[in-house]
Amino acid sequence: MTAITESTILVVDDSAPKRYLLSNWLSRAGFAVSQAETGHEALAQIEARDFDMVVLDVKLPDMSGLEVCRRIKADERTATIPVVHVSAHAVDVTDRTIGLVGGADAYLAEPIDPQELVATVQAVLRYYRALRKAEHLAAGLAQLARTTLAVTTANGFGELLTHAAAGAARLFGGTAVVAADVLDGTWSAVRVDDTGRTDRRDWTPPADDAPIGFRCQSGHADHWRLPAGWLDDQPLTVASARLRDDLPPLYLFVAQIPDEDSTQLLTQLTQALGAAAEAQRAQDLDHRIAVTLQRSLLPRSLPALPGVELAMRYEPASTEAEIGGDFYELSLLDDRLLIAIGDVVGHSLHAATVMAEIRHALRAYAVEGHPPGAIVQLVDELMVRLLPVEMATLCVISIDAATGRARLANAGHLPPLLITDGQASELWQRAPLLGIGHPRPADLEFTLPPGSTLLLYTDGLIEHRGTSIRDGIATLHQLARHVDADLDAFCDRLLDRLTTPPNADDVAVVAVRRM
Amino acid sequence: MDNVSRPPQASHEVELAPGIVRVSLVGEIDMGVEGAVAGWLTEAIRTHPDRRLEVDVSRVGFLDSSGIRVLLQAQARAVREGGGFRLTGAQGTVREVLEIVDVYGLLTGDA
Repeated sequence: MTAITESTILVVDDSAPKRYLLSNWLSRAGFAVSQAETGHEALAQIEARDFDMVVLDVKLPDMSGLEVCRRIKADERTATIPVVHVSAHAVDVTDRTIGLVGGADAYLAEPIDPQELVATVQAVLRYYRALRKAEHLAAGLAQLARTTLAVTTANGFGELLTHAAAGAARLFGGTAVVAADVLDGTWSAVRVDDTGRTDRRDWTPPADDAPIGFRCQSGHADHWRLPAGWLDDQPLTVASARLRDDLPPLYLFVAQIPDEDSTQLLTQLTQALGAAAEAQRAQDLDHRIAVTLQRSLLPRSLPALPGVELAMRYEPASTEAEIGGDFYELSLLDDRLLIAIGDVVGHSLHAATVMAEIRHALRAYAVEGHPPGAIVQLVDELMVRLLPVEMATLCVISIDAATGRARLANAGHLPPLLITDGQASELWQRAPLLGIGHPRPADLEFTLPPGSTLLLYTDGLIEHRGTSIRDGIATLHQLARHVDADLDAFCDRLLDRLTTPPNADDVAVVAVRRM
Repeated sequence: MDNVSRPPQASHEVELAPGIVRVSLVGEIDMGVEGAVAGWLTEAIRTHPDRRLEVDVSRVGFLDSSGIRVLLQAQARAVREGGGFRLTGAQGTVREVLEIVDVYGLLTGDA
């Protein structure tokens, strides 16, 4: 914002001597002055360039000064230009009132005292200056509030940085870059320009001992290793926010900020962004701890059994999603292979612990020598008695490695596929999920011929919102009909084709091939 | 700021018929609304213990395992504390998922 004395004033008067006098007084007081002789000429000049004020004679040859003022105030582009009326004639109170009601900010009548003119002009300019500053600040604060809300409710670091840079770009009217450590020393920077175009890159910060709290300094793109074309060739304002010594800072880069009000907004914005980034980091860490714990609750190695090849995959849900409750079990009991897959209802660390309880219970019942149906029945009873609000689906299969004869008990889980000679068939056994204590049918008995493959999976592989489960299973059929020579490659191919990261749900896949 | 203005995923309507309190669920019933749906159903049982609770899901487009749990728990409560339970209107994917976990007959009384 320019200083008051650098303001440009348009003096409008049809009398040349009076125009000369008014201009002369204002010039000597330090204002830049432009002149117009008629109302139309004045409006044309105002249309063509910016003025900080118009000093306007009430009586003009082509139109009334009051009308010129009305037009200035009626156009939203010029409505904030202050107008001071000057009148050559002795005027009564009514004339002044009409002028002021028409939108003028002051009314001076002859004889005009030079000092009074300059003092009036300065007073009106001071008032407008304060008004614009307040409006600017209010708009800035509203934008700050919107950006703070957006980053606080962002879903993941990508969204957070994008909202942050977009908010800063709008707030400071140009390109803005926001950078943060998004995962264990991996930095990401997002740039948003004044048209809203967004670009995200990996970034390596230079050595910097950012202080705790807020820092604002001048800088240059080169020093900060910003990608080429990002805020090059101009002095920058670089703000950082850091919550603690052991936590990385967040950086905000914008073209140099001119005034103190903007610096205030920058301080508040950067601090809000720093806090939001920290909350996001804590949430991501919680998720990683939960995923690590969940993985530790699943089998860590596959049993070795002559004549049988095994492969399994577990893919957790993305960091944006919650923890899943999928589980699987593969163990060797004498010459029988026990395979189980299931899914605990709910997505939380709690679901993962329930999964571990179910898995250990079914292993214990299997060790006691129970067949699959009895194992499922016992786990169901255990859940009804000891885990009354939990529910889970579970499919247990026991295979005699020597003969390939198998027994299956399912409790509400998706049907395993048996793939023989390029044909896949679904092994359906309808029985309710675990946790409701419903009677069970007899075990389903079948044989795994040499060369055949058994595929078990959870809903994350085939269920997607908006498509039917039938269609999902049919697609899996097509992809699984031909089993790759390498069973691991088979599992990878299925996951690759049927899931699209970031996964909303976790996925477990178990494949068993009889040689 | 889509995540701020996102509309609610599910809503419900309650109506009374002779001997029946009918709760119609609308939208997507998943983990995000599990608590809310459980509350609606419990409230219907509590306020009308002498009526059978009928849950209509004909306007539900998606139901996940959390949704199934809510229905089963409401059924258990309605049988214990109210006048019975019946699920109506399950179709498409909703019916499919209820059939896969084999509780469709249990919930509709068509077993």
